[in-house]
Amino acid sequence: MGVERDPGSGPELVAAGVCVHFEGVKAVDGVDLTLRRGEVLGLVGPNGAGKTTLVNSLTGFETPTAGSVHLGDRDVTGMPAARLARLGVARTFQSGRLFDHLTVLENVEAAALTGHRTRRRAVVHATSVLEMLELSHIASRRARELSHGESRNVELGRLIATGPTFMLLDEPAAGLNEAESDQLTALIASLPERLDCGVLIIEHDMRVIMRLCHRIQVLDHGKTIALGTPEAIRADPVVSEAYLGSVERDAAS
Amino acid sequence: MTEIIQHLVDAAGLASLYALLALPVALVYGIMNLVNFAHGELIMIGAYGLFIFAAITLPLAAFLALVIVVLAALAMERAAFRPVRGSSPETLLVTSFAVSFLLQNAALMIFGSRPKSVETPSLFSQTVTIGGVHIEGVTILSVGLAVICIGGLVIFMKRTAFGMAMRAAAEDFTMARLVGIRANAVISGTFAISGVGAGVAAFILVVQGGSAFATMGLTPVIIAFVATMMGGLGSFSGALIGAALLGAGTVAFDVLLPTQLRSSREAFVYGAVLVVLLIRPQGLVPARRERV
Repeated sequence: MGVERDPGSGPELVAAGVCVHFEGVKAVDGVDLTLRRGEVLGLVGPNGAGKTTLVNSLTGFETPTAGSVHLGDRDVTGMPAARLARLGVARTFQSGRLFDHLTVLENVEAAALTGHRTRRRAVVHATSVLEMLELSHIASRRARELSHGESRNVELGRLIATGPTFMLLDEPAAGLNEAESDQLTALIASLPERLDCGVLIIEHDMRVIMRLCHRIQVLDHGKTIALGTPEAIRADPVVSEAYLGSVERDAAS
Repeated sequence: MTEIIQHLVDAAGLASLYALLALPVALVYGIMNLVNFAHGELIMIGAYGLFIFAAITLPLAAFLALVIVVLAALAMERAAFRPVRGSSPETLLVTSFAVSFLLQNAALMIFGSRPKSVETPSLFSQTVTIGGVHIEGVTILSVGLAVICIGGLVIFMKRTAFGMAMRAAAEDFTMARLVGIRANAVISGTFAISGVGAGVAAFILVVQGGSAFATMGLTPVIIAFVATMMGGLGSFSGALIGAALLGAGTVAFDVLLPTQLRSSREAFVYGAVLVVLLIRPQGLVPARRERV
Protein backbone atom coordinates (compact mmCIF):
# COMPACT_ATOMS: atom_id res chain seq x y z
CA MET A 1 0.00 0.00 0.00
CA GLY A 2 0.91 3.59 -0.10
CA VAL A 3 1.92 3.37 -3.75
CA GLU A 4 1.24 6.56 -5.67
CA ARG A 5 -1.87 6.01 -7.70
CA ASP A 6 -3.43 7.93 -10.44
CA PRO A 7 -5.53 10.47 -8.60
CA GLY A 8 -9.22 10.06 -9.42
CA SER A 9 -10.83 12.39 -11.86
CA GLY A 10 -13.67 14.74 -11.06
CA PRO A 11 -14.01 17.50 -8.51
CA GLU A 12 -11.78 17.74 -5.50
CA LEU A 13 -12.61 18.91 -2.01
CA VAL A 14 -10.19 21.73 -1.39
CA ALA A 15 -9.54 23.76 1.74
CA ALA A 16 -7.39 26.86 1.29
CA GLY A 17 -5.90 28.76 4.21
CA VAL A 18 -8.60 27.57 6.59
CA CYS A 19 -8.47 29.12 10.06
CA VAL A 20 -10.79 28.34 12.94
CA HIS A 21 -10.25 30.46 16.02
CA PHE A 22 -12.10 29.98 19.30
CA GLU A 23 -11.81 33.01 21.55
CA GLY A 24 -8.18 33.56 20.77
CA VAL A 25 -7.24 29.88 20.48
CA LYS A 26 -6.13 29.06 16.97
CA ALA A 27 -7.52 25.54 16.67
CA VAL A 28 -6.85 25.50 12.93
CA ASP A 29 -4.41 28.08 11.67
CA GLY A 30 -4.15 28.40 7.92
CA VAL A 31 -4.38 24.83 6.67
CA ASP A 32 -4.49 23.85 2.99
CA LEU A 33 -5.91 20.44 2.25
CA THR A 34 -6.94 18.64 -0.93
CA LEU A 35 -8.99 15.47 -0.96
CA ARG A 36 -9.19 13.75 -4.35
CA ARG A 37 -11.54 11.08 -5.53
CA GLY A 38 -9.99 7.66 -5.54
CA GLU A 39 -7.60 8.25 -2.66
CA VAL A 40 -7.41 7.74 1.08
CA LEU A 41 -5.93 10.73 2.85
CA GLY A 42 -4.79 10.29 6.44
CA LEU A 43 -5.10 13.23 8.80
CA VAL A 44 -2.91 12.69 11.85
CA GLY A 45 -1.49 14.69 14.69
CA PRO A 46 -1.42 14.80 18.48
CA ASN A 47 -4.56 15.49 20.50
CA GLY A 48 -5.57 19.10 20.11
CA ALA A 49 -3.76 19.46 16.78
CA GLY A 50 -7.01 20.60 15.16
CA LYS A 51 -7.91 17.49 13.14
CA THR A 52 -11.55 17.25 14.15
CA THR A 53 -12.00 21.01 13.93
CA LEU A 54 -10.60 20.94 10.40
CA VAL A 55 -12.98 18.12 9.46
CA ASN A 56 -15.80 20.11 11.06
CA SER A 57 -15.04 23.07 8.85
CA LEU A 58 -14.82 20.84 5.76
CA THR A 59 -18.23 19.31 6.47
CA GLY A 60 -20.18 22.40 7.47
CA PHE A 61 -20.15 21.89 11.22
CA GLU A 62 -17.90 24.87 11.75
CA THR A 63 -17.65 28.05 9.73
CA PRO A 64 -14.01 28.90 9.14
CA THR A 65 -12.85 32.19 10.67
CA ALA A 66 -10.83 32.70 7.50
CA GLY A 67 -10.03 30.76 4.36
CA SER A 68 -12.28 28.88 1.99
CA VAL A 69 -13.60 25.42 1.21
CA HIS A 70 -14.39 24.46 -2.38
CA LEU A 71 -16.15 21.43 -3.77
CA GLY A 72 -14.95 21.43 -7.36
CA ASP A 73 -15.68 24.94 -8.60
CA ARG A 74 -18.28 25.59 -5.98
CA ASP A 75 -17.53 27.67 -2.90
CA VAL A 76 -19.03 25.74 0.00
CA THR A 77 -17.42 27.70 2.82
CA GLY A 78 -19.79 27.78 5.79
CA MET A 79 -22.53 25.86 3.98
CA PRO A 80 -24.80 24.00 6.44
CA ALA A 81 -23.84 20.39 7.05
CA ALA A 82 -27.12 18.96 5.80
CA ARG A 83 -26.76 20.68 2.44
CA LEU A 84 -23.14 19.65 2.09
CA ALA A 85 -24.17 16.09 2.88
CA ARG A 86 -26.64 16.20 0.00
CA LEU A 87 -23.86 17.48 -2.25
CA GLY A 88 -21.87 14.37 -1.37
CA VAL A 89 -19.62 15.49 1.49
CA ALA A 90 -20.49 13.25 4.41
CA ARG A 91 -18.84 12.21 7.64
CA THR A 92 -18.94 9.91 10.62
CA PHE A 93 -18.61 11.03 14.20
CA GLN A 94 -16.34 10.02 17.05
CA SER A 95 -19.49 9.01 18.86
CA GLY A 96 -21.41 6.98 16.32
CA ARG A 97 -25.00 8.11 16.32
CA LEU A 98 -27.34 5.47 14.97
CA PHE A 99 -31.13 5.59 15.07
CA ASP A 100 -31.28 3.36 18.14
CA HIS A 101 -34.79 2.02 17.80
CA LEU A 102 -34.63 1.28 14.10
CA THR A 103 -33.19 -1.97 12.82
CA VAL A 104 -29.81 -2.09 11.15
CA LEU A 105 -31.48 -2.37 7.75
CA GLU A 106 -33.77 0.56 8.51
CA ASN A 107 -30.84 2.69 9.62
CA VAL A 108 -29.17 2.15 6.27
CA GLU A 109 -32.48 2.50 4.43
CA ALA A 110 -33.16 5.89 5.95
CA ALA A 111 -29.89 7.03 4.43
CA ALA A 112 -30.62 5.31 1.11
CA LEU A 113 -33.93 7.15 0.69
CA THR A 114 -32.19 10.24 -0.64
CA GLY A 115 -31.01 8.73 -3.89
CA HIS A 116 -33.76 6.14 -4.20
CA ARG A 117 -37.09 7.84 -3.88
CA THR A 118 -39.19 4.76 -3.24
CA ARG A 119 -39.04 2.58 -0.20
CA ARG A 120 -38.57 -0.57 -2.24
CA ARG A 121 -35.52 0.73 -4.07
CA ALA A 122 -34.08 2.05 -0.84
CA VAL A 123 -34.43 -1.43 0.66
CA VAL A 124 -32.65 -3.01 -2.30
CA HIS A 125 -29.83 -0.50 -2.07
CA ALA A 126 -29.54 -0.79 1.72
CA THR A 127 -29.47 -4.58 1.45
CA SER A 128 -26.62 -4.45 -1.03
CA VAL A 129 -24.67 -2.06 1.20
CA LEU A 130 -25.09 -4.44 4.13
CA GLU A 131 -23.92 -7.33 1.96
CA MET A 132 -20.86 -5.39 0.94
CA LEU A 133 -20.03 -4.70 4.59
CA GLU A 134 -20.80 -8.32 5.53
CA LEU A 135 -23.49 -7.14 7.92
CA SER A 136 -26.44 -9.00 6.40
CA HIS A 137 -26.65 -11.35 9.37
CA ILE A 138 -27.52 -8.50 11.73
CA ALA A 139 -29.90 -6.68 9.36
CA SER A 140 -32.97 -7.18 11.51
CA ARG A 141 -31.37 -6.39 14.87
CA ARG A 142 -32.17 -3.09 16.55
CA ALA A 143 -29.31 -0.63 16.49
CA ARG A 144 -29.20 -0.25 20.27
CA GLU A 145 -28.55 -3.98 20.70
CA LEU A 146 -25.33 -3.90 18.68
CA SER A 147 -21.80 -4.23 19.97
CA HIS A 148 -19.55 -1.22 19.63
CA GLY A 149 -17.74 -2.70 16.65
CA GLU A 150 -20.95 -3.60 14.88
CA SER A 151 -22.43 -0.15 15.35
CA ARG A 152 -19.30 1.48 13.94
CA ASN A 153 -19.69 -0.68 10.85
CA VAL A 154 -23.38 0.10 10.54
CA GLU A 155 -22.61 3.78 10.85
CA LEU A 156 -20.19 3.42 7.98
CA GLY A 157 -22.85 1.55 6.02
CA ARG A 158 -25.32 4.33 6.63
CA LEU A 159 -22.76 6.81 5.36
CA ILE A 160 -22.05 4.73 2.25
CA ALA A 161 -25.78 4.43 1.54
CA THR A 162 -26.04 8.20 1.07
CA GLY A 163 -23.71 7.78 -1.91
CA PRO A 164 -21.09 10.31 -0.89
CA THR A 165 -18.34 11.60 -3.15
CA PHE A 166 -16.17 12.43 -0.16
CA MET A 167 -16.26 10.54 3.12
CA LEU A 168 -14.62 11.97 6.19
CA LEU A 169 -14.15 9.36 8.90
CA ASP A 170 -13.35 10.52 12.42
CA GLU A 171 -11.49 7.71 14.21
CA PRO A 172 -13.53 4.88 12.72
CA ALA A 173 -11.40 2.23 14.43
CA ALA A 174 -11.60 3.75 17.92
CA GLY A 175 -12.60 1.15 20.46
CA LEU A 176 -12.37 -1.77 18.05
CA ASN A 177 -10.32 -4.86 18.80
CA GLU A 178 -7.49 -5.80 16.48
CA ALA A 179 -9.48 -8.20 14.32
CA GLU A 180 -12.34 -5.74 13.92
CA SER A 181 -9.90 -2.98 13.18
CA ASP A 182 -8.17 -5.05 10.48
CA GLN A 183 -11.48 -5.88 8.88
CA LEU A 184 -12.55 -2.24 8.90
CA THR A 185 -9.20 -1.17 7.47
CA ALA A 186 -9.55 -3.58 4.58
CA LEU A 187 -13.03 -2.33 3.93
CA ILE A 188 -12.08 1.34 3.98
CA ALA A 189 -9.15 0.61 1.68
CA SER A 190 -11.56 -0.78 -0.90
CA LEU A 191 -13.97 2.15 -0.80
CA PRO A 192 -12.30 4.70 -3.11
CA GLU A 193 -12.26 2.29 -6.00
CA ARG A 194 -15.60 0.65 -5.31
CA LEU A 195 -17.53 3.87 -4.83
CA ASP A 196 -15.33 6.25 -6.80
CA CYS A 197 -15.05 8.49 -3.77
CA GLY A 198 -12.34 10.20 -1.75
CA VAL A 199 -11.81 9.16 1.87
CA LEU A 200 -10.29 11.29 4.58
CA ILE A 201 -9.53 9.44 7.78
CA ILE A 202 -8.53 10.71 11.20
CA GLU A 203 -6.90 7.88 13.10
CA HIS A 204 -4.48 7.54 16.00
CA ASP A 205 -3.46 4.00 15.15
CA MET A 206 -0.42 4.55 12.90
CA ARG A 207 -0.52 0.91 11.84
CA VAL A 208 -3.92 1.56 10.28
CA ILE A 209 -2.83 4.87 8.79
CA MET A 210 0.34 3.51 7.22
CA ARG A 211 -1.45 0.58 5.62
CA LEU A 212 -4.43 2.51 4.42
CA CYS A 213 -3.42 5.90 3.18
CA HIS A 214 -2.11 7.05 -0.18
CA ARG A 215 -1.13 10.34 1.36
CA ILE A 216 -0.78 11.52 4.93
CA GLN A 217 -1.12 15.05 6.21
CA VAL A 218 0.29 15.77 9.66
CA LEU A 219 -1.12 18.59 11.78
CA ASP A 220 0.35 20.11 14.90
CA HIS A 221 -0.94 23.17 16.73
CA GLY A 222 -3.36 23.90 13.94
CA LYS A 223 -0.72 23.92 11.19
CA THR A 224 0.37 21.39 8.59
CA ILE A 225 3.85 20.18 9.50
CA ALA A 226 4.16 17.47 6.87
CA LEU A 227 2.35 16.09 3.83
CA GLY A 228 3.34 13.12 1.70
CA THR A 229 3.28 9.41 1.07
CA PRO A 230 3.48 7.06 4.07
CA GLU A 231 7.14 6.38 3.20
CA ALA A 232 7.94 10.07 3.09
CA ILE A 233 6.12 10.71 6.36
CA ARG A 234 7.87 7.81 8.04
CA ALA A 235 11.20 9.16 6.83
CA ASP A 236 10.45 12.77 7.71
CA PRO A 237 12.72 13.66 10.63
CA VAL A 238 10.44 16.41 11.90
CA VAL A 239 7.52 14.06 12.11
CA SER A 240 9.22 10.94 13.38
CA GLU A 241 11.37 12.68 15.98
CA ALA A 242 8.87 15.14 17.29
CA TYR A 243 5.66 13.36 16.86
CA LEU A 244 5.24 9.80 15.69
CA GLY A 245 6.87 8.28 18.73
CA SER A 246 4.46 10.02 21.05
CA VAL A 247 1.48 8.97 18.98
CA GLU A 248 2.54 5.37 19.00
CA ARG A 249 2.75 5.52 22.77
CA ASP A 250 -0.71 7.12 22.79
CA ALA A 251 -2.14 4.40 20.65
CA ALA A 252 -0.57 1.68 22.76
CA SER A 253 -1.95 3.06 25.99
CA MET B 1 -70.64 -9.25 33.96
CA THR B 2 -72.77 -7.27 31.54
CA GLU B 3 -72.00 -4.23 33.64
CA ILE B 4 -68.27 -4.74 33.36
CA ILE B 5 -68.51 -5.15 29.60
CA GLN B 6 -70.61 -1.99 29.50
CA HIS B 7 -67.88 -0.07 31.33
CA LEU B 8 -65.21 -1.49 29.04
CA VAL B 9 -67.18 -0.40 25.97
CA ASP B 10 -67.54 3.11 27.41
CA ALA B 11 -63.85 3.23 28.23
CA ALA B 12 -62.95 2.05 24.72
CA GLY B 13 -65.05 4.83 23.23
CA LEU B 14 -63.36 7.50 25.32
CA ALA B 15 -59.89 6.05 24.89
CA SER B 16 -60.33 5.97 21.10
CA LEU B 17 -61.21 9.64 20.98
CA TYR B 18 -58.35 10.47 23.36
CA ALA B 19 -55.91 8.52 21.22
CA LEU B 20 -57.00 10.47 18.15
CA LEU B 21 -56.34 13.66 20.12
CA ALA B 22 -53.04 12.60 21.66
CA LEU B 23 -51.27 10.93 18.73
CA PRO B 24 -50.91 14.00 16.50
CA VAL B 25 -49.62 16.07 19.43
CA ALA B 26 -47.09 13.34 20.25
CA LEU B 27 -45.98 13.03 16.62
CA VAL B 28 -45.33 16.74 16.23
CA TYR B 29 -43.50 16.86 19.54
CA GLY B 30 -41.39 13.87 18.54
CA ILE B 31 -40.25 15.51 15.33
CA MET B 32 -39.64 19.09 16.38
CA ASN B 33 -39.96 19.37 20.17
CA LEU B 34 -43.01 21.53 19.75
CA VAL B 35 -45.89 21.12 22.19
CA ASN B 36 -48.53 22.40 19.80
CA PHE B 37 -51.17 24.09 21.88
CA ALA B 38 -52.82 25.32 18.69
CA HIS B 39 -53.74 21.75 17.78
CA GLY B 40 -57.07 22.45 19.48
CA GLU B 41 -57.74 25.24 17.00
CA LEU B 42 -57.19 22.81 14.13
CA ILE B 43 -60.02 20.82 15.63
CA MET B 44 -62.09 23.99 15.86
CA ILE B 45 -61.38 24.78 12.21
CA GLY B 46 -62.52 21.29 11.30
CA ALA B 47 -65.74 21.77 13.24
CA TYR B 48 -66.51 25.07 11.53
CA GLY B 49 -65.67 23.41 8.24
CA LEU B 50 -68.36 20.83 8.97
CA PHE B 51 -70.75 23.64 9.88
CA ILE B 52 -70.09 25.47 6.61
CA PHE B 53 -70.38 22.43 4.39
CA ALA B 54 -73.09 20.64 6.36
CA ALA B 55 -75.68 21.81 3.85
CA ILE B 56 -74.12 19.46 1.32
CA THR B 57 -74.20 15.75 2.10
CA LEU B 58 -72.32 14.77 5.23
CA PRO B 59 -69.63 12.54 3.71
CA LEU B 60 -68.65 15.31 1.31
CA ALA B 61 -68.75 17.89 4.11
CA ALA B 62 -66.51 15.66 6.22
CA PHE B 63 -64.07 15.29 3.36
CA LEU B 64 -63.95 19.03 2.61
CA ALA B 65 -63.54 19.86 6.31
CA LEU B 66 -60.66 17.38 6.49
CA VAL B 67 -58.96 19.00 3.51
CA ILE B 68 -59.34 22.42 5.12
CA VAL B 69 -57.84 21.25 8.42
CA VAL B 70 -54.86 19.70 6.64
CA LEU B 71 -54.29 22.91 4.70
CA ALA B 72 -54.64 24.92 7.93
CA ALA B 73 -52.08 22.67 9.64
CA LEU B 74 -49.63 23.14 6.76
CA ALA B 75 -50.19 26.90 6.77
CA MET B 76 -49.73 27.03 10.53
CA GLU B 77 -46.37 25.26 10.26
CA ARG B 78 -45.22 27.41 7.39
CA ALA B 79 -46.29 30.76 8.82
CA ALA B 80 -45.80 30.36 12.55
CA PHE B 81 -43.50 27.48 13.41
CA ARG B 82 -40.97 27.38 10.60
CA PRO B 83 -39.54 30.82 11.52
CA VAL B 84 -38.90 29.68 15.10
CA ARG B 85 -37.81 26.13 14.27
CA GLY B 86 -34.91 24.98 16.39
CA SER B 87 -35.69 27.48 19.15
CA SER B 88 -36.08 26.33 22.73
CA PRO B 89 -39.19 24.27 23.55
CA GLU B 90 -40.44 27.21 25.64
CA THR B 91 -40.30 29.58 22.66
CA LEU B 92 -42.12 27.04 20.53
CA LEU B 93 -44.77 26.54 23.20
CA VAL B 94 -45.38 30.26 23.58
CA THR B 95 -45.59 30.61 19.80
CA SER B 96 -48.24 27.93 19.76
CA PHE B 97 -50.18 29.79 22.48
CA ALA B 98 -50.11 32.88 20.31
CA VAL B 99 -51.35 30.97 17.27
CA SER B 100 -54.06 29.40 19.39
CA PHE B 101 -55.41 32.71 20.70
CA LEU B 102 -55.15 34.33 17.30
CA LEU B 103 -57.24 31.59 15.69
CA GLN B 104 -59.76 31.53 18.52
CA ASN B 105 -60.33 35.27 18.24
CA ALA B 106 -60.50 35.11 14.48
CA ALA B 107 -63.23 32.50 14.87
CA LEU B 108 -65.07 34.71 17.36
CA MET B 109 -64.94 37.58 14.88
CA ILE B 110 -66.15 35.50 11.97
CA PHE B 111 -68.70 33.22 13.62
CA GLY B 112 -69.56 35.03 16.86
CA SER B 113 -69.51 33.58 20.34
CA ARG B 114 -72.65 31.46 20.07
CA PRO B 115 -72.17 27.84 19.12
CA LYS B 116 -73.16 27.00 15.57
CA SER B 117 -75.23 23.87 15.58
CA VAL B 118 -74.38 21.24 13.04
CA GLU B 119 -76.95 18.67 11.91
CA THR B 120 -75.57 15.19 11.99
CA PRO B 121 -77.42 12.05 10.93
CA SER B 122 -79.57 10.55 13.67
CA LEU B 123 -77.74 7.31 12.94
CA PHE B 124 -74.97 8.34 15.34
CA SER B 125 -77.29 9.15 18.23
CA GLN B 126 -78.88 5.73 18.11
CA THR B 127 -77.90 3.02 20.51
CA VAL B 128 -77.32 -0.61 19.67
CA THR B 129 -78.00 -3.15 22.38
CA ILE B 130 -76.11 -6.42 22.26
CA GLY B 131 -76.75 -8.86 25.08
CA GLY B 132 -77.74 -6.10 27.46
CA VAL B 133 -74.74 -3.93 26.61
CA HIS B 134 -75.68 -0.54 25.18
CA ILE B 135 -73.36 0.81 22.54
CA GLU B 136 -73.89 4.35 21.37
CA GLY B 137 -73.48 5.20 17.72
CA VAL B 138 -70.79 7.73 18.53
CA THR B 139 -68.81 5.09 20.43
CA ILE B 140 -68.81 2.84 17.38
CA LEU B 141 -67.79 5.85 15.29
CA SER B 142 -64.89 6.75 17.63
CA VAL B 143 -63.56 3.23 17.91
CA GLY B 144 -63.91 2.63 14.18
CA LEU B 145 -62.18 5.83 13.17
CA ALA B 146 -59.43 5.35 15.77
CA VAL B 147 -58.71 1.82 14.55
CA ILE B 148 -58.62 2.96 10.92
CA CYS B 149 -56.45 6.02 11.62
CA ILE B 150 -54.00 4.39 13.99
CA GLY B 151 -53.74 1.29 11.82
CA GLY B 152 -53.24 3.47 8.77
CA LEU B 153 -50.58 5.49 10.53
CA VAL B 154 -48.69 2.40 11.66
CA ILE B 155 -48.70 0.97 8.12
CA PHE B 156 -47.69 4.35 6.76
CA MET B 157 -44.78 4.62 9.19
CA LYS B 158 -43.59 1.07 8.55
CA ARG B 159 -44.10 0.74 4.82
CA THR B 160 -43.57 4.06 3.09
CA ALA B 161 -40.42 6.01 2.40
CA PHE B 162 -41.94 9.02 4.07
CA GLY B 163 -42.82 7.07 7.19
CA MET B 164 -39.29 5.71 7.31
CA ALA B 165 -37.93 9.25 7.13
CA MET B 166 -40.31 10.34 9.87
CA ARG B 167 -39.21 7.57 12.19
CA ALA B 168 -35.56 8.39 11.65
CA ALA B 169 -36.23 12.10 12.17
CA ALA B 170 -38.16 11.42 15.37
CA GLU B 171 -35.15 9.61 16.81
CA ASP B 172 -32.45 12.05 15.84
CA PHE B 173 -33.48 14.98 13.74
CA THR B 174 -29.99 16.34 13.16
CA MET B 175 -28.63 12.97 12.12
CA ALA B 176 -31.60 12.37 9.83
CA ARG B 177 -30.81 15.59 8.00
CA LEU B 178 -27.19 14.55 7.72
CA VAL B 179 -28.12 11.37 5.91
CA GLY B 180 -30.08 13.45 3.44
CA ILE B 181 -33.61 13.48 4.85
CA ARG B 182 -35.21 16.83 4.11
CA ALA B 183 -36.31 18.70 7.22
CA ASN B 184 -39.02 20.75 5.55
CA ALA B 185 -40.65 17.75 3.92
CA VAL B 186 -40.66 15.70 7.12
CA ILE B 187 -42.04 18.52 9.25
CA SER B 188 -44.71 19.55 6.72
CA GLY B 189 -45.75 15.93 6.37
CA THR B 190 -46.00 15.53 10.13
CA PHE B 191 -48.19 18.61 10.36
CA ALA B 192 -50.38 17.31 7.55
CA ILE B 193 -50.83 14.06 9.50
CA SER B 194 -51.64 16.02 12.65
CA GLY B 195 -54.21 17.89 10.56
CA VAL B 196 -55.83 14.60 9.55
CA GLY B 197 -56.00 13.64 13.23
CA ALA B 198 -57.56 16.99 14.13
CA GLY B 199 -60.10 16.72 11.32
CA VAL B 200 -61.19 13.24 12.36
CA ALA B 201 -61.41 14.29 16.01
CA ALA B 202 -63.45 17.34 14.99
CA PHE B 203 -65.92 15.08 13.23
CA ILE B 204 -66.39 12.93 16.32
CA LEU B 205 -66.68 15.94 18.64
CA VAL B 206 -69.28 17.58 16.40
CA VAL B 207 -71.29 14.37 16.21
CA GLN B 208 -71.06 14.15 20.00
CA GLY B 209 -71.75 17.78 20.87
CA GLY B 210 -73.81 18.85 17.88
CA SER B 211 -72.10 22.21 17.46
CA ALA B 212 -68.98 24.18 16.57
CA PHE B 213 -67.72 27.02 18.75
CA ALA B 214 -64.56 29.11 19.02
CA THR B 215 -63.18 27.69 22.26
CA MET B 216 -64.05 24.07 21.57
CA GLY B 217 -60.38 23.14 21.03
CA LEU B 218 -59.35 23.81 24.61
CA THR B 219 -60.63 20.71 26.38
CA PRO B 220 -59.46 18.30 23.65
CA VAL B 221 -56.00 19.81 23.56
CA ILE B 222 -55.66 19.54 27.33
CA ILE B 223 -56.73 15.91 27.14
CA ALA B 224 -54.17 15.39 24.38
CA PHE B 225 -51.40 16.90 26.52
CA VAL B 226 -52.30 14.98 29.61
CA ALA B 227 -52.39 11.71 27.69
CA THR B 228 -49.06 12.35 25.96
CA MET B 229 -47.43 13.56 29.17
CA MET B 230 -48.60 10.47 31.01
CA GLY B 231 -47.32 8.21 28.29
CA GLY B 232 -44.07 10.10 27.88
CA LEU B 233 -43.89 13.08 25.53
CA GLY B 234 -42.89 12.24 22.01
CA SER B 235 -43.38 8.51 22.18
CA PHE B 236 -45.93 7.00 19.85
CA SER B 237 -46.88 4.01 21.99
CA GLY B 238 -46.74 6.22 25.09
CA ALA B 239 -49.44 8.47 23.67
CA LEU B 240 -51.66 5.44 23.03
CA ILE B 241 -51.11 4.07 26.52
CA GLY B 242 -51.75 7.49 28.05
CA ALA B 243 -54.98 7.83 26.09
CA ALA B 244 -56.12 4.36 27.12
CA LEU B 245 -55.38 5.02 30.79
CA LEU B 246 -57.07 8.38 30.73
CA GLY B 247 -60.18 6.89 29.11
CA ALA B 248 -60.24 3.96 31.51
CA GLY B 249 -59.58 6.23 34.50
CA THR B 250 -62.40 8.55 33.60
CA VAL B 251 -64.87 5.69 33.33
CA ALA B 252 -63.54 4.06 36.51
CA PHE B 253 -64.01 7.20 38.57
CA ASP B 254 -67.43 7.63 37.04
CA VAL B 255 -68.40 4.19 38.25
CA LEU B 256 -66.65 4.09 41.60
CA LEU B 257 -67.26 7.56 42.96
CA PRO B 258 -70.34 8.09 45.11
CA THR B 259 -73.11 9.90 43.24
CA GLN B 260 -72.63 13.26 44.93
CA LEU B 261 -68.93 13.37 43.90
CA ARG B 262 -69.52 12.19 40.36
CA SER B 263 -69.85 15.70 38.96
CA SER B 264 -66.28 16.43 40.05
CA ARG B 265 -65.02 13.27 38.35
CA GLU B 266 -62.46 15.24 36.29
CA ALA B 267 -60.82 16.54 39.45
CA PHE B 268 -60.19 12.96 40.54
CA VAL B 269 -58.94 11.90 37.11
CA TYR B 270 -56.42 14.71 36.88
CA GLY B 271 -55.48 14.25 40.53
CA ALA B 272 -54.58 10.67 39.63
CA VAL B 273 -52.59 11.97 36.64
CA LEU B 274 -50.65 14.25 38.97
CA VAL B 275 -49.78 11.30 41.18
CA VAL B 276 -48.57 9.31 38.15
CA LEU B 277 -46.42 12.22 37.02
CA LEU B 278 -45.00 12.71 40.51
CA ILE B 279 -43.93 9.09 40.58
CA ARG B 280 -42.81 8.97 36.95
CA PRO B 281 -42.00 12.50 35.76
CA GLN B 282 -40.76 11.13 32.42
CA GLY B 283 -44.08 9.45 31.77
CA LEU B 284 -44.80 5.77 31.62
CA VAL B 285 -43.02 5.14 28.32
CA PRO B 286 -40.29 7.79 28.23
CA ALA B 287 -39.37 9.07 24.78
CA ARG B 288 -36.31 7.39 23.56
CA ARG B 289 -33.78 9.82 22.34
CA GLU B 290 -31.37 12.39 23.51
CA ARG B 291 -31.39 15.63 21.67
CA VAL B 292 -28.44 17.61 20.52
